Formats: sequence, structure tokens, C-alpha cells
Amino acid sequence: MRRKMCAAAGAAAAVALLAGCGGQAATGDGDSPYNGSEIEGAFTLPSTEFTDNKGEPYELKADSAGTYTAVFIGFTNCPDICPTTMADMSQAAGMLDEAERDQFRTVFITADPERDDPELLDMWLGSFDPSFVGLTTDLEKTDATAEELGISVSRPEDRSGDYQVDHGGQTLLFDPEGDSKVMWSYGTEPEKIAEDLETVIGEDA
Amino acid sequence: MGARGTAVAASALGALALAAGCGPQEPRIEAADATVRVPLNPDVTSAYLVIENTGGADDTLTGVETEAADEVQMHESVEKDDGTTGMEERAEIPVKAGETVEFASGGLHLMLMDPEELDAGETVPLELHFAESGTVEVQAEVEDVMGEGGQDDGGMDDTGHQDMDHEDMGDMDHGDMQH
Ligand SMILES: [Cu+2]
Repeated sequence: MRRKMCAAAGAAAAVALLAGCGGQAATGDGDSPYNGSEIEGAFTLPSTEFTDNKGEPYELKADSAGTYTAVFIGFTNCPDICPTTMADMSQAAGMLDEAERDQFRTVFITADPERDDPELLDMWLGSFDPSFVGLTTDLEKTDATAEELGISVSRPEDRSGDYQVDHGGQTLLFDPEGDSKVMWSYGTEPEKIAEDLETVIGEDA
Repeated sequence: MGARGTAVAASALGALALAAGCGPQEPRIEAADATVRVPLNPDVTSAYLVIENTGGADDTLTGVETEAADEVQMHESVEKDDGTTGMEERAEIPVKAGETVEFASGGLHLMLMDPEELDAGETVPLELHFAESGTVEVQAEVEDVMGEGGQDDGGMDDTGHQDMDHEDMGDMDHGDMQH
């Protein structure tokens, strides 16, 4: 799969996002010890109740504690950006050694809970990696979570036909305490993501 | 002398014929590297390809059809001012003389609405409708989202090629999904 969005656009978006959420020090790739943008502590996983893709309750902060957690917000009717990102995360995880992989998980939160029920999430995520966790909750909690994480979500008023949900394309990595570490913009190559994961996991080892 | 004269005349004629038949004033469309993603959600999937206009005149892609889906829309993934990534539908895609248009993840893509069940390794015909060149058909390889085309699972994109000679796009399509 080829990608169109250029690195410059991604970097610009990252800077804009950081500027928008209260002036983090990192201003570009030059200052980041990672391939992605450093977002040390800029966001914290909220203690929001979700239902996971197996139909079990999942409290975002508590149930993610103890592992490095990558969070992406998307929807399964998204044919281009979302599957590409999930495939990249799966490939990146595959590049880790087993000990690293045990400390890492990927969480996909649906921005479209009206269509994405646990069953559909389970089927969809199973195409990438059966270890991925898919989360759904009501619209209000979904939007509140997205806001907490600095990820924009915008849904059309009329959701009758084949509608699309616009959403930020970034993936955020949280440490085992639920504090943000790294942000990857859409199109970051799996090798680069894997390198960052190794760095982050290695820092605490 | 005589023979040589004939040869020159013949080649001059050849050049004339070439100019008239497929000369610089006509578009010449080649479509390649077409892939369709195995539908992950029953409502929709995406397809990608490369369209090259090696002719001397502009053309425009005005629509796409396939027997494998109810409808095919042309979309572009775009980053919006509010920081979101969304998709916009395109009614026409210009393919100018000498240009190559890539449908690739994160940019232009075809949206197959209500696709059939498709398995990796299958082939699906896409009918591309052009304003000047009429309908151009290309066979698209159905690929697993992890880049696997069925029978050869280490190969990522390698099974999807409809090869035309493309020095200038040789590598673009081999990189990202591979280790
Ligand atoms: Cu689309």
C-alpha cells in the first residue's frame, strides 16, 4: 500500500495539535527522541467505561494499566485510513520481541458506536490482529474520551445512509500508568513505530 | 540507391502513420497495479491502482464500475482544518498528458459500496470510464489488509501487478507494508 499524506503535513499537524493543547516543549522531529512526536504527559487515559469486542466491560485507564497502550480512534466503515493504521500497528507489534510484545497492546476506540457493536469490532479487528482490543460506548462518552485525548471527531447530523465519521488520524502511545508518551501521525511506517516502541519500553526496562 | 530510397520513403510513411494513429494529440491510458482490499466491514471496501497517460492529450476519469460492488465512488482522504481526517468524493479525476495518477492509501482511493464477499487472491475487473478514451478495464487483485494476496503470503504486493513497463514507479509500491 502506498501513502499520499506527506511527512511535512503530518509534522505540521503534530505541531498544531501540540500548540493547541497547552504548549508542549516538543516542536518537531528535531527535539523528539522518537520517530513520532514526543507528548510526554500531555494526555492521560480517562477512567471511562467501555464494552470491549468480547462484550466484556473495559475501563480505559484501569484495564490498560500495566502495559504500554496504543490508542487510535476510528470506525469500521472507514475503508482507507483506519485499516491502514491498524495494519501498520499489527506489523509494528510483529517486529517486537516477545518480551516487548507482552508489554504492549493496541486499543481501537470506535468513533461510530451506533454502527460498530462489539461483534462487528471483533470481526473487523480480527483481520489485523486478534490481540487488538476494540472498545465501544455511548456517543457522549466517546466524544468526551476523544476530547480528553486531543483527537477530533466529527460526525454528520444525518446518519441514515452511508455516512462517514471524520476523525483525527493520529495514534497515541500511553505508558503503563496511562500517561501519554508518543504520538504517531497517519502514515508513520511500521518500522518507525516499532523502533519507538522498543525505545519507550527499553527506557523503563 | 533505389532500395535505400524506398526504405527512407517507407519509414517516412511509417512515421506519418504513427502520427495519425496514436500521435501526440491523443490520450493513451494505461492502468496497472490494481488491488481491492478484502472487505473488512460488509458495507464498504477500498481499491487502489495507478493510471498513466502516456499519450499527448489530457483525459479525465469520470467514473468506475465493477460487478463486485453496487457502486464505486472516487474518494480522496484529506486532512481537514479541524484536525480530522476525512474523505471527500471526487466526480472527476484529471489524468493529464504524460502524467501518472496514483490511487494510494491516504490519498485517492476507490470506495466499493456494498461489495460482494471477496477472498484474497481473487481477481475483480474494474471498468474505468474516461472522457476521451472510453472504457478501460483493469483486473484488480483482491488483497488481504495485511498485504497478502492469497497464495503467496510473503509477497505483499507482488501478486497484484498487471505489469506495464514502469521504471518510474518501480519502487513506490513495494515499500511500506514490508519489513
Ligand atoms: Cu473513501
